Amino acid sequence: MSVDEPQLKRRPGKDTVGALSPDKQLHQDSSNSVGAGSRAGVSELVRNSSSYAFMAVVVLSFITRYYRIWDPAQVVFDEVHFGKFASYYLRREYYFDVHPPLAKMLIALGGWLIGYDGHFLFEKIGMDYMSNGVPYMMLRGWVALFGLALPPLVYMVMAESGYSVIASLLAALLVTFDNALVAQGRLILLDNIMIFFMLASVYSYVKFFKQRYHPFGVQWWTWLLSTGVMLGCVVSCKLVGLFTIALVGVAVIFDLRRILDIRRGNTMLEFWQHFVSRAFALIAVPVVLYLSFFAIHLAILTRTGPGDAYHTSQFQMQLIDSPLAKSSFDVHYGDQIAIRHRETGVFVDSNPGRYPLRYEDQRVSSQGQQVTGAKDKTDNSFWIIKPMVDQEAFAQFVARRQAGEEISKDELNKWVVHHTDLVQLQHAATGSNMRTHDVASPMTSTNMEFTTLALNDTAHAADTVWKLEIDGAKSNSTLLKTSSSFIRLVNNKHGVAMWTHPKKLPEWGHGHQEINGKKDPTAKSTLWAITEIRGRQITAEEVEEMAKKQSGMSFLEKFVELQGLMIKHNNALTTVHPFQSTPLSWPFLTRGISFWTDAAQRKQIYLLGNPIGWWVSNLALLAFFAGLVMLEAYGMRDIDLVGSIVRRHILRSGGFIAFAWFIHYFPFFMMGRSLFLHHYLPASIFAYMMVAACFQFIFVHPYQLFTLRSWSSRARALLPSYSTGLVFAVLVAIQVATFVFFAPISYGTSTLTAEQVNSRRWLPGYDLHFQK
Amino acid sequence: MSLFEQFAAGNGAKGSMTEADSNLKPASSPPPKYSEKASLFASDSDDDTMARPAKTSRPDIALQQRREWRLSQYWVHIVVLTIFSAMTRFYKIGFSNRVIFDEAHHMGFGGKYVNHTFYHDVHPPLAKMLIGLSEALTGFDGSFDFKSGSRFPANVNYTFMRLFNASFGATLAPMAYATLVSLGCSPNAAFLAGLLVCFDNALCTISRFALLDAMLMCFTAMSVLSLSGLYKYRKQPFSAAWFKWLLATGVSLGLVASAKWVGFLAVALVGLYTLYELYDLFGQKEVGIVSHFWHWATRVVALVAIPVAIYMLCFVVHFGLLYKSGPGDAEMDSLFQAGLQGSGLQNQPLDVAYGSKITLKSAHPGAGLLHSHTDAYPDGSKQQQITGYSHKDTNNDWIVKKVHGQSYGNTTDTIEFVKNGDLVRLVHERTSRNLHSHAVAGHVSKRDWEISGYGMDGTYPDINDHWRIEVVEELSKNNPERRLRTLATRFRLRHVGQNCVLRASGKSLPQWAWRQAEMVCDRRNHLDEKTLWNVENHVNPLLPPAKPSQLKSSFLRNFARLNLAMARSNNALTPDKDKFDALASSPQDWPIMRLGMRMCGWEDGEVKFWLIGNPVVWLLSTLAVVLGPIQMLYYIVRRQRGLCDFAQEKEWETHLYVSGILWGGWALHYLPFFAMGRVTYQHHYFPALYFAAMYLAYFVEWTGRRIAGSANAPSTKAVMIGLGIAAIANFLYFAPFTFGFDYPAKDLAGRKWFSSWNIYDTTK
Repeated sequence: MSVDEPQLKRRPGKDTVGALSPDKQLHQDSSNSVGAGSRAGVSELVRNSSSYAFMAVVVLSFITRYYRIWDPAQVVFDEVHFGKFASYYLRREYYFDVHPPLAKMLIALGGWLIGYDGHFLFEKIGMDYMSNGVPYMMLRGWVALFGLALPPLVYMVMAESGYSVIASLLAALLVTFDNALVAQGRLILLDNIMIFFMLASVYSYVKFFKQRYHPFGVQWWTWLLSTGVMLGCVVSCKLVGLFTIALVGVAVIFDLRRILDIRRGNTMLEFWQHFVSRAFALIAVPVVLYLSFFAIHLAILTRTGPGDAYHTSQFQMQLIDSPLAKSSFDVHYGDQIAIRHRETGVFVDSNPGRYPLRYEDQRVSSQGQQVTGAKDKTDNSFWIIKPMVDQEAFAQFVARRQAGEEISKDELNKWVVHHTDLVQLQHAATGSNMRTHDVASPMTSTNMEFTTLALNDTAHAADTVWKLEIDGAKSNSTLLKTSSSFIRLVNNKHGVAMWTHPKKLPEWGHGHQEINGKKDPTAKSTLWAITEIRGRQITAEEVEEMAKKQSGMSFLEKFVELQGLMIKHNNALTTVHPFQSTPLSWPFLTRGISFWTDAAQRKQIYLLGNPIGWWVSNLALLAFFAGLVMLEAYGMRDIDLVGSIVRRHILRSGGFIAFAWFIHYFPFFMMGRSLFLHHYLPASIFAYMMVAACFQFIFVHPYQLFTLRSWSSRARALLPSYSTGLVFAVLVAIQVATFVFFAPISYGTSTLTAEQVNSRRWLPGYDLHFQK
Repeated sequence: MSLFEQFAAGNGAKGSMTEADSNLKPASSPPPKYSEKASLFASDSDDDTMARPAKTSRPDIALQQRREWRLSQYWVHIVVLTIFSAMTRFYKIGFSNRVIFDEAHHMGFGGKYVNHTFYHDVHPPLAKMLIGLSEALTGFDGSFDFKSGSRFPANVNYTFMRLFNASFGATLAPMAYATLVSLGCSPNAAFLAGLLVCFDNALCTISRFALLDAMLMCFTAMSVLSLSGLYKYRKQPFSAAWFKWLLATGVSLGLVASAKWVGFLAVALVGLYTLYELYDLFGQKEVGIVSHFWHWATRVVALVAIPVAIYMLCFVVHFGLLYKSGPGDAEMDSLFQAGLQGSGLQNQPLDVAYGSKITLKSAHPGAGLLHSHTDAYPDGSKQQQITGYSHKDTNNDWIVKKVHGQSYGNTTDTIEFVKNGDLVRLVHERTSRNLHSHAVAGHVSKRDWEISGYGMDGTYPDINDHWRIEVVEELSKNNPERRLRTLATRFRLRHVGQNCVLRASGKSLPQWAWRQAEMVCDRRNHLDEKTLWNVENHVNPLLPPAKPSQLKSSFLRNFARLNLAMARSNNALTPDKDKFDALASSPQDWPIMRLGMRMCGWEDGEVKFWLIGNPVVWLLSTLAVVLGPIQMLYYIVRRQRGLCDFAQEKEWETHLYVSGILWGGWALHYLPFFAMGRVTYQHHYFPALYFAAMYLAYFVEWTGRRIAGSANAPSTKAVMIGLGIAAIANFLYFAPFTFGFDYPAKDLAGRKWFSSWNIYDTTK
């Protein structure tokens, strides 16, 4: 990660390479070096150059991020989501999202600090903030603090890694003037918060690594724990933070391998101390933090809200004012129930209509009574649930109930329905039992047809017996409840489960959904719920009683459930978005994302990186990999191209940056979900660092003279040659010019004519608005 | 040969000498460096070196005797394993007289070669051609269609067809033995590997039917055997034995890739090994530049050129044999089809005229013919769907008409031909809808405009029904007027109203359009192959049929087209979530044997086969491939601590090499399936299992050597014998699944070891 000189000086016996101490070299080299002039005034400027460079970066970063941050005063792109989530925190209403909570809680924290009450729900892109009274400027300003910190952090990481002032400054300026990071950095979005913690982790780890010759010291522990804390934060912002953990993990493995090497002189006990302390700080600490943020998340969101429906009923019942708690009560045999499909929301319906004798594809049906899925609940949607045991007693019970007799609670409780009970379902309107049999279903020939059977047909009665399975029930004593239980109806004879899918039946089926028997009864799509018992109303005292009976869920149970749902829904984010893109296209920046438009004023925000900057970073990455291959090839032939110190810096620090880019980019190729350009932003930062690293490897010699010990330390020299300065100036000038050129679509603050829009369409994929 | 001898000698190493040569002449010349044994515990059992007549001095007699003993032991082992394999593969092979499992496909495809009818399939042709050969050898007349589950008629000698196929499967065990010996294992470990492969129920079962897998496995085994030969002689490059194995590797790779595309995983294994070898060579400064050149050149020829040639040759034979029109026509372009006998494309009028009934073929493989049907789009305009469809039916027929308001002549004299630049309307014959586009977003490709069927012929005139013909390529001669010609003209259809072009987006529509290909009107003028069309069928009673055209499609063009179509069909084999596929399984199920597979109907009286591995082989090999890397890590850590576990550094290097080939072979043949989007089946694991079984034997031996100090220690031997006996016993216990059983599956319910096994369904 860094050049080793300070340590080399202390342990001359260990590393024989580069035995010259930096100071000695300084004396030797300074006379040859152009930049390190001997005059006192210049020298003082040079000595403080790192501090000046750092301050310049802070100022420029502030200007680019905060320039007219109040503009546009409308909801932009994903502010729809993250602004909304902040509001939910402030209202303490439960919502569900695929990302971990930290970044969203930080946004909400900003809102809370400025006294925003969460009344606005950010429903649509383009909604006006002013008229809705949202302190959006303060919210954006708060989030932009994280964006503001990125370029200085880049400077710090580079300087700590042993790069020169000029190379570190180059990296920081490239990041400062990147259009995508700026556009993303001044809105209420998660990415900048995540990237902030990512860079903070990297910075901490570099600092920690530099303490390797003072293990277990205060500094060592400080930076190790800081790394762990920052890693915990980054993964609590977005799950892509796992890539940063992988980055640090791989670096640690290399480090441990080094410690293990017998030539380093560590005992096995020392090795285990190193191992355990890293495991604690880099695994245990992030895990605890991750869990803690969820604990805070759940502690804040205590009220029922839009996220209820994602969860199990037990989870929902814990929320204050949960509507579920008011509609969940026991089902008894003899009740007339309405059964609703969980995924598609249709009710099981039957009507006197029959299946047609012959379908379009010439298959033949049973011509039985139709059982279908109807969107609306009607008289045809009610089914009487009947037991298979104690049928005489049941008949008496039903008769007494119908006669209007008062039935005691104890007696009623004898007729509750349990998990795995065998039941029959009699259609209330037509009086026949639900049945499935070995006839192919109308539209899905692999599944079994659903129909009904007259009560007096005993020959096929076995077809009408169903095993009622409650999803997630652990014992046979689990009771069937309305709304909160999800059930499967598995035919006792054929082993198929009642199932439906959004395909509509032709005209003869009244446009209802097809219901049939699915041979794989464990599928999620075979889940149904009982939404209503005809004529049953819940009383206030019953609600109270239920509230008492509610079994609580521990934090860990809630966490496991929530985490599972997050992963599941994240993978299910496959709906095609018009602005999604493929990972391969990102580094080439072939297309951006339209964030916001204002047709009246011909303004727009279009997320696009700095095209030249991105293409130059690709070249740098390519050059670095080519350089590695060359080093390796020459190494194989025992030829040393660059000297051992530079070689080690290239392999260690350059390799670290290259791997950081790789690990934050390539995993996206394996993701099935919809992907967006902004997923490349973390990797793009490392790509920019690679530009600066290559700049240093190629142009800054002699190496040791220019290396910074720390970002705040004094520099010994500034410029190796004027040509190096020229390269730096050209790179920065192009970056700034391109940034300014694209600034109108990054900020969305100025009106553009069609001509101006078209002049920014460098690639055909830049589908900007208002081209005509 | 002599050329290589010269330059090899020029490098200071007499590369052409074999190991035996050098060992036989110790006195005459100092043993050169390369004559060290290829690996530390290499046995000298290669037939090449062993078959030499003895002519030795006294000190060599003991060595010679030991070698002779080893050689005879080697061949006895090979013969024993071959006999065992033949017994297990051939026993009761004709027991079921039904078409089992994928025999329906593969025997059917074999039959196509007998009948010479063109078909399309996802796999390359070699293995299917061999099945076809076996059918031809029996004198099969091509009359049986091998419908799944049907009984073979008396005149189909299915027993021979299966025997032919099983003989490929029977070569696995001896090859596993030879491979391990070549990699330097002791005969005991190699024999154990042979037994594990021979007595695995799954490998045995799959070999006993006329499927592609036995051949694929055989070619995979050949590849790794050749690779192990290359490894053995790596220190003697350009020797006769080295050349022999290099050539064998190239040929095997060609064969394995031509059998099934998974064969490319074997290519990857050899490729990685070769790259490492060349990398290592690069660091050897004593090797001269000329020698470097020959190292590269010989490998490029043997491992690239030869496999490519074999792969292409298979397709040459494939096209040569299938010269009649058949069910696979539509996958190929129109020109190719026109060359097939009976394709119906031969006697058509050449020039397209107004009033002609035509079908339009997309140049994009997989987009098929321009198609419409009565279903409407569920959203967007909700007008009639226009799709691309590969199968031929009357919904692909379109009538070429003039634009709204214009009429055309309909007699032989007044007929008007369609020319480049003409404005036309295309009317779907069955539904009278016009090919139409408008400013409504496409359904999958949302950035382009939708294509729909609109209006009732001329009833609702709309300028959005108008298309301009833009001829791009003309393959026939003498067409001064640039008329639109059947098959020969490649053109675009440009929508006049919106200035966009009709394009196959290359994506499939959802289930509501039966996953047919999407058609869009491309707004951004991607003028690529997807926008090119040609007229395939042409009917016009007013016009005379064209003279037999000289148009012929080149082999390379056909080859490329067919391979693209195969790739596309392969990718289309995606799991359908709505259907429960009892045969499919996922990669994580395989090593832990979570699922078996019923290969046929499960009626009580019928002969039934259940595809399941031998738990001893499967589960223990899984354990070995998991423990192997852990063990490796253990030794790496110890080396970091300066602890020396190996008498010679070479022992460790050998271990890395052999593990690389065997464990790497397993990983390369297994892990890629996790990344595949297509449906996966249990038999996809078999090549990986072959490697895993060999690795298990190697792992036992190596671990034995480390713990007991020798591969021949009694405890090591005991473990090996125990493993062998357990494998055989378990094989026999599961034998009914392999050889078939005609009694109710209930009788075997006791052998249902895991609840997920479907040998017998206890819920019923």
